[in-house]
Amino acid sequence: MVDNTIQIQGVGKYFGAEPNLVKALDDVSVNIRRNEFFTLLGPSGCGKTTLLRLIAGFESPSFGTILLDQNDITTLPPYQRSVNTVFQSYALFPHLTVAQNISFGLEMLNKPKHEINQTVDEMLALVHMEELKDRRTNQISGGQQQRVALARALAPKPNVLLLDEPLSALDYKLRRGMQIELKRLQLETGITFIFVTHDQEEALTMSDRIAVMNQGHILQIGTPDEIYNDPQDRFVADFIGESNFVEVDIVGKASGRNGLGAIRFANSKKSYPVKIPANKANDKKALVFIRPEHARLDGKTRGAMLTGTLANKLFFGTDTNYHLDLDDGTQFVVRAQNTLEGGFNPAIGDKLGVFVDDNALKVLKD
Amino acid sequence: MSRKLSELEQDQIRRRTRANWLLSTPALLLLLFAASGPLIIVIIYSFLSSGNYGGVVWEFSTEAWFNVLYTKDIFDDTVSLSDAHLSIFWRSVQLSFLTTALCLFFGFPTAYFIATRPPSTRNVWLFLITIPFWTNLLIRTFAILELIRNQGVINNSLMSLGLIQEPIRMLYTDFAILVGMAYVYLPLMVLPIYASMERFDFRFVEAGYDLYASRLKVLRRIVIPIIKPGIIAGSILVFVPSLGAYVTPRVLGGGKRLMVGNLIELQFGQGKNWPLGAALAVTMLAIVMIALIFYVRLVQKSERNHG
Repeated sequence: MVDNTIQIQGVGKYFGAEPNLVKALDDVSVNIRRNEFFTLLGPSGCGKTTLLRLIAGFESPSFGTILLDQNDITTLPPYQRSVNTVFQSYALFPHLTVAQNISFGLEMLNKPKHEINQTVDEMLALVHMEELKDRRTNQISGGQQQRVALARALAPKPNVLLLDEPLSALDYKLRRGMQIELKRLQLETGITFIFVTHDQEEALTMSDRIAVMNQGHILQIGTPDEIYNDPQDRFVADFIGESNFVEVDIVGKASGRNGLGAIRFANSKKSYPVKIPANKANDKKALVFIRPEHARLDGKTRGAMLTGTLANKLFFGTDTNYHLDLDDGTQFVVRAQNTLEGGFNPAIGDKLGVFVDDNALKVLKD
Repeated sequence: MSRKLSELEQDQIRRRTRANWLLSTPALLLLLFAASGPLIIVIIYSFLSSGNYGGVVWEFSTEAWFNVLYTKDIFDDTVSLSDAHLSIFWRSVQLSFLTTALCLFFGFPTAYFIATRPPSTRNVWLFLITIPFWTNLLIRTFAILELIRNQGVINNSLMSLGLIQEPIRMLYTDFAILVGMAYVYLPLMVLPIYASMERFDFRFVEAGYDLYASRLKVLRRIVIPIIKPGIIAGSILVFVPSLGAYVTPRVLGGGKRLMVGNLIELQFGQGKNWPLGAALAVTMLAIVMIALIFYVRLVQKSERNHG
C-alpha cells in the first residue's frame, strides 16, 4: 500500500459570484506520498498557489476534502495543522532576530526552553547561519533570508513543508545552489516537500514527482522522466522543455501484434509504427510531438523523415538549435550537441533532412 | 584638474548648505518666536511677584514656586502641602492616562478595520474619522453635553423607555470629562496607528498562523510589536493635549472638577496671580517631559527584552 501524507480529494476553490465566478481550482484530486519531493508546476494563474494555500489552511476549499495522515484537516485553521510554509516573500518577522524567527514556531508549540535552544542551534547549523543568528532579518542578504525562512519552517518538524516559489527572487547562480541545498535538506529531514514553481527546469531537477497544472486542473502527474518523455497532451509537452509539433495522418489502426498503429507525414509515402492513444483510435489526423534533441540533421535529404530549409542557428554553448522551415511550412527545431571538432555545419538556406527514431515519435491525446 | 574638481564640489556643498539654512529660516523664526519665546516669558514670569490687579511686578520672587506645592495659612502662617493643587495635578494625570487608554482601546480596532478595507474605500473611512475636526472643539463639547446632561438625549430616552426612573447623573463628573476627551482626541490615536498599520504586511499574520500562533498570539507577538511606533506616536498625541485640556473639563466638568489647564487659567483670570499661573504651566511642562522620557524608556526596555 502506498503511504500517503496528503490526500486531496475532489477539491475546488471558486472566488466571487456567478457573473464573475473564478474557478481557481476545479475538482482536483492528488495523493502526495510520504517523504516525497512533490512539485506543482504550471504557469501563473494555474491554481498551484491556491492549492498550496488550501493545504496550508489560509483558504478553505469551496468543496472537497483534504486529508493529512488520514485525518480530515479541511476545516482546521492553519495553526492546528502540522504543515509549515516557506513564503515566496519569506515573510520573516522584521522585529525579531534570525534565531528568534526560527524559534517562533517552537515557542508557539510551548516546547521546553532547552529543547527550543537545541532545535534552533540544529536548524542554524543545517542552513549554515550560525554566525548571523543575532542579526535582524533586514541586515542579511536575500539568499540568507531564504535560508532563515527554510529553517523557520523546518524547526517545528512539520509533517509537510510547503514551498511557494521560494527561489524566484534569487539570481540564477544562487538559485542553482539553493536547488541542491533544498534537495539535501529534504533528504536529511525526511519531510514531505510540496514545491510550487513555474520554472520547469527547477521542477525537473528537484522533484520525485511533478503535477503539471493549467487553468485549475491537474493535467498530468508523474516522475520528471515521465512528464518529459511521455507528456499526455499538448499543453504538458509545450510547457516542459522545447517541443516540435507536426500534424500527421493516421494510416493504420492499432494492430493486435504489438499494439502499434501507423502514421504518415504530409508529402511522404513512408509510414511509421507508433502507439496511438485510445481516444485517437478512430481519427484520421493526429499531432505528433518530437523533442528537438531526439531529431538529427543531415545534409542528405534522401530517406529523411522530414525535409526543410535551415532558417536560423542559435548557439547555446553546449548545444546549437537549428530552426527549420519544413516543406509544409511548419517550424521545426533540431538540437545538436556541439563538439570541439566542429563537424556538421550547415549554412542558412541549406536544404536539410531530419531523421528521427521511430520510438521518439509520440502521438498526443489532443 | 582633480584639485579643481574637489574645490568645485566643496563650493557646491557650501552653497547648498547656505541655501538650506536660508530656506529653513521661516521655520526657525517660527520656532524661536512662537515656541521658545513664550516659554521663556512664562519661565521669567514665574520668578516675579504678582501685581494687585493681575500682571506682574518686576521684582524677583520664588513665592509662586512655593505656592505650587504649599499653602500658607492666612491666619497663623503655618505651612502645609497644597491639597488642592496636588489633587488637581493628580486628577489631570489620571484622566489623561485613562483617556489615552480609552483612545487606544477604541482607536486600535478602528485603525485595524480601516487598514484592512480595500484601498479604494480606505480614504472614505479616513475622511469620516476626520469629520469631527471640521467643527469647533467648543461646539463638539457642547454636543456631548447635550447628550449626557440630566434632561439630555440619553437620559430622556432611557426614562421614556422606562428603563430608569431618575436621570443618571453623568454631567459634571470625571466620567463626563473622560468621555469628552476620548471623543475629541480619538482621531489623533487612530491616524498614526493607521499609518503604521497601512504599511504592515499582512503576510506576517499568515506566517504567524502557519507557525502555530493563535489569533491572540499573532496580535500580541507580531502585529503589536511591528506597529508599535504608531501606537507610541498616537499615545503621545493623545496624552499631551489631554493633560493640558481646558475646554472639555470646563464645559463637562462644570468648573468644579478642575484640570491643570483650568487651574492655570484661573490664576491668570480671576486669581490675578500670574506668577503662580506661570509656575503651574512650567510644572505641567515638566510633568509631560518626565512622562515622555519614562514612556520612551519603557518602550526601549520592552524592545530589548522582546528583541
